[in-house]
Amino acid sequence: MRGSLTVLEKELSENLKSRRFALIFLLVFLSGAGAVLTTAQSLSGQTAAEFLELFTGTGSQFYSYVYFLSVLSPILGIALGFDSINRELSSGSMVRLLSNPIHRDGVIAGKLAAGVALISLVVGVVNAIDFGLGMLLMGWGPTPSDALRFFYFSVVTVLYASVWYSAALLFSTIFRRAATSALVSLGLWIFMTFFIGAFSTALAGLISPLPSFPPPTLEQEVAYIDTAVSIARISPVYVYSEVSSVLLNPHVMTLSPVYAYAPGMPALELGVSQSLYLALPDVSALMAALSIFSILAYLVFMRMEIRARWE
Amino acid sequence: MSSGPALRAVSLRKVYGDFVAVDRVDLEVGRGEVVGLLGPNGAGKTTTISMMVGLVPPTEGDVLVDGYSVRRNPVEVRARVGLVPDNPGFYEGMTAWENLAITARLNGVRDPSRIDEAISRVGLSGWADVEVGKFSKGMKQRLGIADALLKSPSVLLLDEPTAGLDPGGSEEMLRLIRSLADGGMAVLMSSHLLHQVEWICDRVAVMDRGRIIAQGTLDQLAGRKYYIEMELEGNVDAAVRALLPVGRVSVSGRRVTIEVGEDARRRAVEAALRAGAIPLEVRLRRASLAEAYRSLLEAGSR
Repeated sequence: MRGSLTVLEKELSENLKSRRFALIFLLVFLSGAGAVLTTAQSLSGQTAAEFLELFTGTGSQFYSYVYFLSVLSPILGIALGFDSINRELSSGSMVRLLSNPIHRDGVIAGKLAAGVALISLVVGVVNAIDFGLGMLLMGWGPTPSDALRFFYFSVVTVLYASVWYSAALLFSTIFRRAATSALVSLGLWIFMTFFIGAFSTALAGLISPLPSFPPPTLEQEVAYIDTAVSIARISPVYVYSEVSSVLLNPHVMTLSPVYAYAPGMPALELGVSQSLYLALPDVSALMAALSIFSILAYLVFMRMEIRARWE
Repeated sequence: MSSGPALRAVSLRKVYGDFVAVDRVDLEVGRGEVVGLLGPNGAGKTTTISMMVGLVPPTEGDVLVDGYSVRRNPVEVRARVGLVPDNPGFYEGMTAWENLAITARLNGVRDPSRIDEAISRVGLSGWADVEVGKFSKGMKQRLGIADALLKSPSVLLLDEPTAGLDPGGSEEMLRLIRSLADGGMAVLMSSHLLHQVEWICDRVAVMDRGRIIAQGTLDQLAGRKYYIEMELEGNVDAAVRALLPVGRVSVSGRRVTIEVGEDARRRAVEAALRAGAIPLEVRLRRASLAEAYRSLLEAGSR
């Protein structure tokens, strides 16, 4: 697409020099490092500890590394995208950009690519540093399969943050004021993070109600939980937490609410490819969300009226 | 490059729902010519300019730049049109040079000396490495021109180019625009400042409610309209009544202005004398652009 590479370069240059980017990078890095540090302290006496537990936070009294990323990755995506289009419209730079021999879709494609590249940079650098920090603190390193699992986890984190970036980009295309698009993006994030649990159980209670008397049967309880989980999966935050747990914990065998376990059964572990297979539906859901938001942002932007004077 | 006018709008029309923003505008700007686009707020000037650079698609009609149609070849048109909006938008955290480098890349300008050249042409050589956020409004306007010049356009579109500039800055800007036209560029400039338009424009088009209600040279626009300005002593009221058959009369104290279609000074002086007033000073002048513009809009609203 003509001009998209120039827009990509411009976006990278503008963001990498901005205080906003430095601040959000620092926030993600410090939170991640803090989580790894406290988890490492709580794991220090355990001989059977696995390297990836550093990130899932098992046994830690503090929030886990994965938890911080699940909270801060959307903030990163929103911070990069909420004013990406409307700021350029109000400052007049969009008119300057589009009065050059460039296709309009080159602008939105360049912005999308730049957002994903910046997110990859932050997630990649922070994860790499914290992975190294983890080795330093534990005094031993990961197995090759642990390293591979962490790599896939990083890729999914980029995908997850990109979903929020594309949502913020859509809102910055729809709303003329940056403050409005920021509020809507944050509102969506707050709902998807903090209220999706209450919302999904309330809705599940309507769709698959549990009788109070006689006590619900196992089938009824499973149907209720299944419905609640299915509804919760509209939230990228929920989906990301599922994928993270599957990728970073080889003992997670299923994402279904029911897991048959027999006493005395040996602890099983999934291979990396098996975990990937298990995470595939959730990864596809994140990709679908990214595509939907991006396509909507593209359509709105292409149909937008942009005049020489933006009033 | 085609041999016709550099810019040609043909039956250009833009409709939003029931509202006709631009109604069958026909306009030409030749190479080396500065054409002023006048009109009250909401007349459709900015929409017309936006269509000329391919920002807004026309509902009907077309714009041809060097023979390229904005409908069929918007990218070719944008490569040949430099747009300077009233508030050129730059990335404030980037330097002037970095901002222009983006435009250079978008236009396939590979020689970095072209950027220095454009910056120096608008007198900002010492400011190339300064962040645009630190620029004054006038400096941004000049950088806007440098930005447009970088692609060596055939047509320069300026929307209120001196808005917010001090008198010195405005004059400098107008001289620059005139020199660009003298170098062979076709310039279309929208403005509310009629004395500036009168100063640098070869032709003027007046828009009102989406339509071009008049266009031509300043002489053509003013038509055969003159004003006789007289300073009277004596019975001014009687003189005013006596002057009514000569033309449209307006009075301010002892000064009387008569709108006439020809040099009617002799008739006016005789009428004043007969009414018992002595003309101390009599002057004939052609209608100014402002007066022509006002009467055109008045005629349009009737």
